[in-house]
Amino acid sequence: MIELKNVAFTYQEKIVFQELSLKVEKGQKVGIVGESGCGKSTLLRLIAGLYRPAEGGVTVDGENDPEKISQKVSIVLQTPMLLPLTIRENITMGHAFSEEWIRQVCAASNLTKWIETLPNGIDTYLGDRADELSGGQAQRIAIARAMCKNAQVLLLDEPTSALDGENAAAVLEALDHFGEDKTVLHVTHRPEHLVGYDRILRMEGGKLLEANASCAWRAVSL
Amino acid sequence: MDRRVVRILKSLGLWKRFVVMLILRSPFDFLNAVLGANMLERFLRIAQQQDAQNLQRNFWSFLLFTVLLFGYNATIWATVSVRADMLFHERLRTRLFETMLSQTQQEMEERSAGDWITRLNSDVDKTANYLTEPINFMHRSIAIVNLVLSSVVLMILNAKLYLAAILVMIPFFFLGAVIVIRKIPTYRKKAQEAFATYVSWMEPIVNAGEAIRIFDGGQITLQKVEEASKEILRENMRAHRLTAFSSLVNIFSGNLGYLLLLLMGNSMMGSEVRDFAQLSKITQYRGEMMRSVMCVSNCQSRMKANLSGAIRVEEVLGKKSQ
Repeated sequence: MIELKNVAFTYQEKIVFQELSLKVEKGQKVGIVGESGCGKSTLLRLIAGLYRPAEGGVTVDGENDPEKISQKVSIVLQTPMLLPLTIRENITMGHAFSEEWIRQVCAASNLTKWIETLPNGIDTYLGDRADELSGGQAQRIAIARAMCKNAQVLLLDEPTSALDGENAAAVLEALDHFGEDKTVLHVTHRPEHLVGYDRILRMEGGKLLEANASCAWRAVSL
Repeated sequence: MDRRVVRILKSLGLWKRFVVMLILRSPFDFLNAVLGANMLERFLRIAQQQDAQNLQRNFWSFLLFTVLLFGYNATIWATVSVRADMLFHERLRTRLFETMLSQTQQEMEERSAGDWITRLNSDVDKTANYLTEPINFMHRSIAIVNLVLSSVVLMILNAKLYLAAILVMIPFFFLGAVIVIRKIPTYRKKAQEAFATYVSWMEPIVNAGEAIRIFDGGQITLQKVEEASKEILRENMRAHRLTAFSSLVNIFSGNLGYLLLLLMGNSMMGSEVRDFAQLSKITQYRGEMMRSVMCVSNCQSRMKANLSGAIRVEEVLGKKSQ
């Protein structure tokens, strides 16, 4: 379960949130929409323990220490953030996983075919110019990395924004499949990507609004 | 001088200035050697004659020459060389930036950020060191002049002792030169490449910090940075070991030659060698030859090491001309 209680957060002297509260039950799929710059990505980073609230508290599965929260979540960001390592190392980040598991996550993130075309396969060194990969390839590696960690909380920050329609559909399908038994928070500009989600939230003026059954927005409260 | 460095100097419009600088500095060491050798010979002779007045007169004359010689070195030449050094750094960095900016984004992306940073910093410094670092090109040229002239003087003074000095010197010089000078640039170049990899990690550490934290990638990141860092150290250590070996060879060769000259000189005393004062003078010139050979050897190895920077700088400058 994810819980934010009266969270206040300031970024570079600008108030982003004040008294922000949210509760997401275990296994729930929650979509978050809103204008650019309204704080959607910041919210995910707060939940992931990357940012620390000025006031209030963030807990993930009962844990409120940001370092420990980071261990409980996986994240796919708009930019893939790959490192000058091999594909395998980018996926596992140097941790020990079974070959079978790595093979599964590569298949789930539609990487297998492309990897098979590379001379060194999954051990191909991406170098420090990983951004030379196509947006789709890089993002699918980032998704494989998130899948490989297999955390119970999956945070998605516009994971398909840099992808074309076909790639985006494949990535979304892979993420839907992977996130079936997980708690998912998905930030997007495109509400059509949130079909089948349990809850849709809209961020506006530093507040979270929730659509009710008649599609009217009301403030989220605990 | 390496043709690549000549091309860089010409492209920066500093070639003529560099040649003038070289001419201004070249005779210094030899004049110093002549002064030292003659002073020793004359002082020993006067001391034997116990002529205090003459000794004092000679002392003041030599002091005046020494002051003039070092005064010239510390003022005129130092000013010229420092200005040339500054100008070289300034023009080379500017030219590199211009070349980088004139390239397309695609060409820029052919090299990593770390590679560019290394070329702009340590490679420029290395190229400048090749030319202006006191013990490099400039001193090698001065040492060669000193070596040739000291050899001529020693040959005139005593051909047999000159031959003995040369026979000891040559094998050791070539041993050091062949082993050390050929291998050092390879190690230094590898160290530079490792440095580029090391610097290349700075950007991802900053830009992908969030992914590193969430996916607990600190350990692998650190491991890779350490690998690059160890590689720099490893290659530099190899180069240092070779340099140390070269110094050892030089010292051994120096002492062996000195001993040989004293033994031979002693047996020639009164015939081919006039007196102990003249033998001291001969050993002074041999000392100068030895010092020059060591200087050439050290300068050569450092120049070769710094040449790796010049090669990388020229790769960029050459791209513009294409």
